Amino acid sequence: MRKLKLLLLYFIAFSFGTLYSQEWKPVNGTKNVSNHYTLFKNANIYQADGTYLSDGQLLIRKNKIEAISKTIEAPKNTIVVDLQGKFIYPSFIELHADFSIPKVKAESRSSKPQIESSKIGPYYWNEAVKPEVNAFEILQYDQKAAEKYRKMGFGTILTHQKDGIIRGTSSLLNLDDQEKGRVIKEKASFHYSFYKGSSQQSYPSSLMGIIALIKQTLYDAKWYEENPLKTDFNASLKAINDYKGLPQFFDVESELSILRAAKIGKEFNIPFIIKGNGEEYKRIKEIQKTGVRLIVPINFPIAYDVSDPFLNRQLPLSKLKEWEMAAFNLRLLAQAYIPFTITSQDLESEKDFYSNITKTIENGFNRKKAIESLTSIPASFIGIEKELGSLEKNKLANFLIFSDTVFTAKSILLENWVDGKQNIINELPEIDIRGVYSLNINKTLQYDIEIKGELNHLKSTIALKNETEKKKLNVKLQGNRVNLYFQNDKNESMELIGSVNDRESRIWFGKALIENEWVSWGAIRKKLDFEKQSDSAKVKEPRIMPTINFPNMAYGTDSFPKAGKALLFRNATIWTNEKDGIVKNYDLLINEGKILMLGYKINMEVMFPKLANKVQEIDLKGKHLTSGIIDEHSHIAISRGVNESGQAVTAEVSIGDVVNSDDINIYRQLAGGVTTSQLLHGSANPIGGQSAIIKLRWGKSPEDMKVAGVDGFIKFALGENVKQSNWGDHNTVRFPQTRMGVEQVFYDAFYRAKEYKADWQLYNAKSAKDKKKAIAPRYDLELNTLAEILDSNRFITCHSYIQSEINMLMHVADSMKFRVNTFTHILEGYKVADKMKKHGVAASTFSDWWAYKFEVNDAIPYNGAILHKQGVLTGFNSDDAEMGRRLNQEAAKAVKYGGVSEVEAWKFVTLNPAKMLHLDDRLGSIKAGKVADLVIWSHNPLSIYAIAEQVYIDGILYFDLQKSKELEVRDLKERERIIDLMLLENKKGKPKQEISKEEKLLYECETLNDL
Amino acid sequence: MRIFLILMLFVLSENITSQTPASKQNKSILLIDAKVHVGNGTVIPRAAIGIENGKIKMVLDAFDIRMDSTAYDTIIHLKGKEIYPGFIAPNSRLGLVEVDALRATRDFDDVGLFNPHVRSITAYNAESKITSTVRTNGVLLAQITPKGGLISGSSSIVNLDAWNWEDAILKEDDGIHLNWPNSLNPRETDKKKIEELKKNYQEKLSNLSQFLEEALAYQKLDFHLEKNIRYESMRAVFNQEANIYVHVDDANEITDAIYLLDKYKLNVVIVGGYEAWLVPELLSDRKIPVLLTRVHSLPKNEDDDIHLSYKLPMILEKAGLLVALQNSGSMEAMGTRNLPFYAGTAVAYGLEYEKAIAMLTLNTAKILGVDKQVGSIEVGKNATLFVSEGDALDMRTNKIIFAFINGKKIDLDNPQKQLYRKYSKKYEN
Repeated sequence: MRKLKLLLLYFIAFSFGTLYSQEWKPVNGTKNVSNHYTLFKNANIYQADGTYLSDGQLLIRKNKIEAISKTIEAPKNTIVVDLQGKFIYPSFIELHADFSIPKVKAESRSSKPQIESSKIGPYYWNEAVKPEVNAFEILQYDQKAAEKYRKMGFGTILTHQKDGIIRGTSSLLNLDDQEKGRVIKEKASFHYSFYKGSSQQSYPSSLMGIIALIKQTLYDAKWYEENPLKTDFNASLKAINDYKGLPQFFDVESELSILRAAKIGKEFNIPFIIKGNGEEYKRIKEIQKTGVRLIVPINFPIAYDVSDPFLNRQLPLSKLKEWEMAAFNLRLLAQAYIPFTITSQDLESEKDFYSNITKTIENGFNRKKAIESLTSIPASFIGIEKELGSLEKNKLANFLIFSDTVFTAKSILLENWVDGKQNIINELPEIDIRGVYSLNINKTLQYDIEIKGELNHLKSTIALKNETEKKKLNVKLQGNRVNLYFQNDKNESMELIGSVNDRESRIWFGKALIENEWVSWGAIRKKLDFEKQSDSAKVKEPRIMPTINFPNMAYGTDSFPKAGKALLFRNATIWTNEKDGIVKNYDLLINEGKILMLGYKINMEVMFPKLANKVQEIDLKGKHLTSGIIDEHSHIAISRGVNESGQAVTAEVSIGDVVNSDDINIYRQLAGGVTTSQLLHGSANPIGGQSAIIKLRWGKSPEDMKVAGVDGFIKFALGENVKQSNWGDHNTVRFPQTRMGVEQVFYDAFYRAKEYKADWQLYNAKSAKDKKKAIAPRYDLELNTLAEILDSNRFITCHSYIQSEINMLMHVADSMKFRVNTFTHILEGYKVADKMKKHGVAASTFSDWWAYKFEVNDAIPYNGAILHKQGVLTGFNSDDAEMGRRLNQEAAKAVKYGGVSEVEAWKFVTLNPAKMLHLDDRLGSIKAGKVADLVIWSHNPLSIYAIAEQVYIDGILYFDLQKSKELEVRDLKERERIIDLMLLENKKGKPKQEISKEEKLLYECETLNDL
Repeated sequence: MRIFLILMLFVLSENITSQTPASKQNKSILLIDAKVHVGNGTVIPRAAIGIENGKIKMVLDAFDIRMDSTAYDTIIHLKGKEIYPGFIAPNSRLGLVEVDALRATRDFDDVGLFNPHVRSITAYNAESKITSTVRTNGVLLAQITPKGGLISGSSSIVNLDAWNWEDAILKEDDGIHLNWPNSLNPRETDKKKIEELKKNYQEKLSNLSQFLEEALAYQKLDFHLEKNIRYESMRAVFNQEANIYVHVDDANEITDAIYLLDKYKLNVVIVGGYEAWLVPELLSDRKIPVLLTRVHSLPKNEDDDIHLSYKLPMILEKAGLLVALQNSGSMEAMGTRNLPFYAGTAVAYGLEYEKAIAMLTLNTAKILGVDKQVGSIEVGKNATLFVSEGDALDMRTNKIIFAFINGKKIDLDNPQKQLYRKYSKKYEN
């Protein structure tokens, strides 16, 4: 038995050897051992289950918790600390810091674009990919910053270099000044982001480029791992593989990017912990579905200065709502059971840390959850829950002492113990001097003194006896010593020095130097039982949550219309886009999002008895009914860059990754009768990115806007944009700079794609045994996409202007045995209409644009008419957020210029683009079985007087002119309500920010660098 | 070889740079039986218009009056057609730029903040290819306007059919253009910079005041030995012989502009005026007219009525302001041909049709100070008008068959039509 005990002791000693480390360093002087215990008694100790151990005791020794209990028999060598009425919590853990990591500055090396990485060594080809960076290798313990964090209550911090898209590993430190930051784990986690950082390399220049780069790097890392026979060493790829097992973090800028990062995680089976921007409430359901864990900041927007009602118009409802909703975010996240931790990052000042969390708790966020999200949850996120995150025996002695329940207005953080070492944060005076006193100086001068406020923030006033005019009094209390300073009625300075006689602060006395003479003064407390403000947190009813619109802005929807209703439109003039042409006084029946029947006076009882009693009839006498407008070339609803201009070939990027569901232009265009849009990559490079085809389902998430089961498309471009003719004199580096070069970019790309295909075919034909002996080809997102084109699995929409280049690309395609699907812009298409017809390419052009650059000098508004007449599938597109909402007018220009019939002209913006997008099997005309994407017009839709009164997508009413007016009123009221709240804040003298103009950059083909 | 040359010439003749201006019209013309939109808000369902010596000699209701048609050399029967006064494009870069992206063709914005002495007219290219495509939609007059800086210079009003700028002039140096500074910069989020901009704004306003004070003092002497050509060019503005066009959109800035200029008693015109509807009394009390921002533009604020830009003509008209439409912005020069359709959209969103016509004609002429010569089909005015197959505000029916500038029937061909014919022919063979 004794032996066993010894063994146990030995075992314990051994196992804690790592924590109770022997001295490493030589000691200057004599060894200073402190083996004592410290016992904190009479405290309310927060326990893992969320309850408090009242009158509890906490025993620590060195850096560890020895015991927690109601009664502890402390060893003799124990220092006892009485924490009567105070509260103990585990110290907080920060997971998103760059604490003690030197900042990386972007160095501009040249005015010319930098195409290649400037980093020397066996690293990945892109400067923004830095997985090989290890935080512990560049740590420079920053004592000042540590103090800031400790003031907020953090004891442990995960720190990484916040630079680049892949950022390498972090270190987990205890904020222990004596140890200069004790490293608990040198490589604790691995970090990604959607921020390019200091890299000056031109690629990636867009968010979609960043996403593609991350994916490609991960595929490359996988290849690197799976092919041991490869000969080249790459430190970056190795690092990614080496640290796969660590928790993987992702830093993003918006709630939509949380969804984007989660999608990458899904593709590569990485359960990311994602740091968002605090606006997760905007898409909480979608975030919940991804199953990601989050790091959430609490940097609430500052109220705007809303004193000028005209100026307030510049402040969109979205900003107002963001201001109001910020403090509800955590409550909503908790309600949705999304695991998250709170970060102090992005705060303007560390003072906001407590006030903001307290605010969210007042708004209904659970206090226990708040504590957990700063302690046990972050501990579990990085797998240190055995050492940290709660107050339990054998865990590290990282804990906080508060004067009151944490996250209440009165609560003050007094001490932050890290590694068993005391750090005093705030000292409360031992004596409570609050009260009313009568003061006399030299037995003649009589004053009344009043001292109130918080213990650590006293407010004092002084008045002549029996006078009402109060003056400011400075009271400084240090131990029992007290200093008073004020200006008397003659504005002379009075300085009194003395002491507080007893702990109850009944009598003060001392000396003052008045007119070069030391005189005595004394003060006697008049009211002993001065009303102290209640210490316990007042339990207020949580504030009522404001409504969230989808998107959370003006015209956002607060309720989604029900799908699938049976509707019967009566007596309409219907533009069928089918053989019947335009039919008058016709009826159209839709159900479950599909067109059921087009007919003359449909008799429901006879033909659709089952629907007869639930169908809703809508009389459209005098109105026109058409299928929805389809915009083949649009750049609305895109986040952070429409062009990946960093390289000439960027087939790997996809607009589908960056669809922005919160663009007001979605709603505006919907109101113009647009139901489907192809969101195209810009025209900055010969081979641009993949496009996204969306329906303007206003309010839905990006993924829900995308049209399911569509063919893939990609943007190509020719001419001035791709050769950077109008980009200024410094952009003369990237190949190509001429139309000659453009052709060769295509040949080069497609030859590479062919070789890539052949490599894979060869490899896939090998037996499993032979495969082991071979090096597999690299999975290449760019070449893979190009190979899809060669296989006719992906289709090209090519930005084009002049006939030479149009002809050239058709030759390239012919020689590679694929077909160009669509030429867009195609302003000189009329010159080569015969060749286009022969190639079988469609033309999506402008009605009347020209003269904006040299290559459109020969553009004519008759282009569409000639192409159409020559049998080329022809349409008109917008490429412009403004024009996109009146494409019906543009279609009418085909009638004006070139005399296209009205029936055919209307197809230019409906059926023809549907065909270009391979969607004519379900969209583009009014025919039984097709999807009920419909527009009701007040007049002939080609007329300038036509107004879209209702727009249906999938048979659901997404836009209604009448409803839109109601939304306008709703928003005006909502604005007023929030502005009133802000005015209140303004009046209270709280910080406020100036309004700036919120003009969003509208993307066109040529928009560069809006990352 | 010789045949080849002739062929070459033939081909080239299909590709001339612009249309040949019409020659002097010595004969009198009678336009009869068309529906006439007078421009002043009235309509004559069947009218007879007599043109002689470049002027409108007679406008009568063809129902009421029996007239002597033999008095006219040419009679054109226009039953079912519609006649409009030539549309006027104010605040236009037409002829100051040929290809937007080509710096060599851009002549509308010079260096410097205060350029009142810069005159658009001498840079005006009367032979611009763009102009010929604008006329064919009914725009026959334009105010050629410099841009940029605080004061960008003086504009002139031209007929869009001339051999050169000198011949094109309808009114030379009709006004100076003042671009009101922005108190807020779009897309600025940095707090310090926003503060800076605010300061900047005040600074610019005081610079402007200083400039106006000095210019005013200068013009009190009729003759200076030492000339300041900037101040010289401001004389006409202070004499109210020329307008001052203040390009400004925001309500606050409109307010600042009006109060700053009040004391000088100038002929102020607001150009842009997106938020003029918020301060209509300020404008109507002083009879300040508005050359309204482009109707086909996106609302400037996310929360604005999605159709606000479409409704502004109606809103401002109802507020009792004198309003005309203009077209400045991106794709400006070539987009001038769409000016009629802006008025059409305004009609769709509540403006009375004839009032919309006035916003392209008589209102514009009044604002620009040329209503004695142009802007309506009334006796004594220049015979600058056009005939359309149908409603000229709707692209379905805007088909101009005749257009007259100062009584001269202008060539309605243009290089784009030539290319259309050339390539239509290609496919016929």
